[in-house]
Amino acid sequence: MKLTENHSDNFFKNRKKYTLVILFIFFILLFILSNSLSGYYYRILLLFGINVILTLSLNITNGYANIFSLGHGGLMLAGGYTTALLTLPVEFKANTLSLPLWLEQAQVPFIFSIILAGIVAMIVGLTILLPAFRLKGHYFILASLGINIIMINIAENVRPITNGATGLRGAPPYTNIWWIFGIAIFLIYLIWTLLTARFGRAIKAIGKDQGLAEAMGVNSAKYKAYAFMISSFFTGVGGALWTHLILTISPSSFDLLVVFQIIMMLVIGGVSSISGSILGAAIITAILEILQPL
Amino acid sequence: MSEEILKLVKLTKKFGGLTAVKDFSMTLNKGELLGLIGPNGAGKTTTFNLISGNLAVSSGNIIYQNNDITDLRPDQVADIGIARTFQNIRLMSGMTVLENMQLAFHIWNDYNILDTIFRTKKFKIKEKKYLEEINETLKHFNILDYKNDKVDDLPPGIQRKADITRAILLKPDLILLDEPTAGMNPSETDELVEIIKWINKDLKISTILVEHDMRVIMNICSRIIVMENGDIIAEGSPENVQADKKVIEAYLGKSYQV
Repeated sequence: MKLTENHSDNFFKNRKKYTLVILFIFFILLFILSNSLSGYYYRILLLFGINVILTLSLNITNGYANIFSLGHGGLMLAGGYTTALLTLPVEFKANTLSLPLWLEQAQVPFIFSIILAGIVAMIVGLTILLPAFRLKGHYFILASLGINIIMINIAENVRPITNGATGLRGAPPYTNIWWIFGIAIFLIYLIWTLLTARFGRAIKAIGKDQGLAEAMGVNSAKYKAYAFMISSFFTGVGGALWTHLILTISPSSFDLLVVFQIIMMLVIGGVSSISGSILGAAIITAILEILQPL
Repeated sequence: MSEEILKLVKLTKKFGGLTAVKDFSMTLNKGELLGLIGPNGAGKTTTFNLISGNLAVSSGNIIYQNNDITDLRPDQVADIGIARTFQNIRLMSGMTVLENMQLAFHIWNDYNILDTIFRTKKFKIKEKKYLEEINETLKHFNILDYKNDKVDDLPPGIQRKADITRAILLKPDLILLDEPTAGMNPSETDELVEIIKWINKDLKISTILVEHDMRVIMNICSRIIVMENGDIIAEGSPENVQADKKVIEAYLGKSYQV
């Protein structure tokens, strides 16, 4: 018993040291890459980073908690539109949209706009999906698909705010390599800390055997909602980062195809695994770019 | 000593036209080890499912430590101190024994989400304490060596012990054991009998035991309730139950002798 405990203590200490070293090397690598890569490859690197964020957040629900959702495209739209409305130039908003004055004049710093994007995505996800939590299996998947359809319809039809099918153009190019990978690393850390503690254990237990988890005192409805909240927050953030990279958002930006691409990343890398999500994101991002000319 | 911990009042459960449990009333005293036996389909497991909140009660009441817990959800029932095991061994597949055990500390909400994210001293102290408790209990069950093994790879005897361990780690006041010795060989059964005795006597956890192995039931239970078709047909000490005509007819069989 003593032996194993000492071993685990050492392991944790060493792991901390190694993690810091790897992080340091990683940021130096990012610095070199950001200065040496040409425009096209740099952009692919950024897309990869965003895909990592999206895949990791999808992993929380579809992987660990085993609530298979196809609705993450709608959440990305919610995040994208939120950040666009908060940061677009005032003249554009005044000329093409008819917004309330406070929103028209709003020029929010990037950090707050992505946090708000995450919060709006979280609220959207919860309002639409909380009633759907009563459904199980295939039925929940179909209900989650509804988020996409509802959000795309809202984006197309609420013209005064979303500019209809044309979408919003000219979002400021705030997204850069540091934001993306900073958030990605924070998300990795967050998922890792949660999974190795009470919160994540409860979520993993629900994913494996909900009945047993409940017998062990886990309030499954509450923890599913928590998992979905964290997931949709970071999906919204991912959508916001994407918007500030592509500089435009329209109802067709994040359709079902995008959702399936992210699910592909998740499945190829391995469900319920942090490293798997990163690997899957890398593989699919590369494949999509290689296949683009065909 | 004879303080009531659990009381079922005219408990009834209907599945459509079938009445699985019919006006079932019983009391369990603190520290008692009660055996619940009966033929298949008598309603033993249904009674467990009603107590633990897995099934909704059709009518009647469940009183636990003077509180009505009839309408509680399974997680709330676990939270107030009623642990249960299932008829078939249920562990989180793909996880190690240790990870399975750690889930038991979910209800002992000692640190919050910020402690988790920032890995505060409180978090580390609590986690270490949990780990020590898990090690101690696993050691008592003789399965400490399997701590880091995936549960799926373990033999059924070890899995069963792990299953009971995780229920014990909830630190309940009442434990519902659903056929703990099913599928075990004689030596494993003997070991489990010792474990059940230890749970009841040393840990002072009131126990209800559903079991088909009469050797186990007659050996360790202080009182036995015999069910048939959702109702009690006999109740009393092992000796009285064995001699009861109705019980012999319904369940034990004429050739049964201890």
